Amino acid sequence: MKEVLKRGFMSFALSSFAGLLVNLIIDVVMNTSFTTGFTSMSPDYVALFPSVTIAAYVNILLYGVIGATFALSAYIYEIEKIGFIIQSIIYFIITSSVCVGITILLWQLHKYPSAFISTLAGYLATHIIMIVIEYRKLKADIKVINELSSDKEQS
Amino acid sequence: MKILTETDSKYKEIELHVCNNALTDEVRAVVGELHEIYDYSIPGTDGAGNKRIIRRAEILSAYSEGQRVIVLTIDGRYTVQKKLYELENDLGEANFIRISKSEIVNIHKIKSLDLSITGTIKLVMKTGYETYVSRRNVAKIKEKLTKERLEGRA
Repeated sequence: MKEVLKRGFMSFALSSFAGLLVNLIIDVVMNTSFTTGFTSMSPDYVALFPSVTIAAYVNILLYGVIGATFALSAYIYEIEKIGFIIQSIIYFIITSSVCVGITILLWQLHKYPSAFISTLAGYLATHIIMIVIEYRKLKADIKVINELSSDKEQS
Repeated sequence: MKILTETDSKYKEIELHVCNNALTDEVRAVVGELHEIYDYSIPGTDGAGNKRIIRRAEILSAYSEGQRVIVLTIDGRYTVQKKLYELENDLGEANFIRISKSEIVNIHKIKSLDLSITGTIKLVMKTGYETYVSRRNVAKIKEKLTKERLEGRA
């Protein structure tokens, strides 16, 4: 449990920091006069909060939640009794649910259906490609192991 | 160095004889290695509380179960007073390999691995014992077996 909390906290902190850094870079590059507020946040998102500063704080926390979700969901891969295809599906469902929810809030993706669908489809396609490649690699490795083990048994 | 195998009904257990015309450093090293492999033993306690010494050669698998570490031999299961990583360090050089976060097995006792359609990797030992391998350890098992094969040929 201690390890879970540590991993969750570390990934939350690192992701928040990374999000803060990226937002800072975007604002420095895109908004050199610092007159138009935070350009890294969509106006629709900022409108959900009483002030831009609170929106910015929540934005950073949401990056932390995304990071912690990815890190904690990865624990599913440590349960050997669950096949890795099932593990990957569970991982995909958890991470995509959280990420889609957050990106809808941050970037108002639901207002742009084609962008929303392509983002989700891209994430799904990445997972499918990863699963296929991994399955084929595992199958090949296991074939070699079985051949080596049976040779050993015969000799 | 010649390695000869002799089978005869007069032998009741495996005997290893190291023969040379003098007791050289090489002979000492070989004997030392053999002692290291075969003399390593740990005390274990079975389910009924009986204690016995388990020799390295007897160990099929060692795994953690809650706070305990269990050593599996052909005779049964024994609880040992060691952490899994300590056992891994002690046994690592002698054909043991980690197959998951909670288990190490004797690589020479592996019969086969089986990949299911859902991606579960089942390991079957020669004794019939079945367990599961984590995906990230499959490549390490292959590597170790391949290395042994190459060393055996050299």
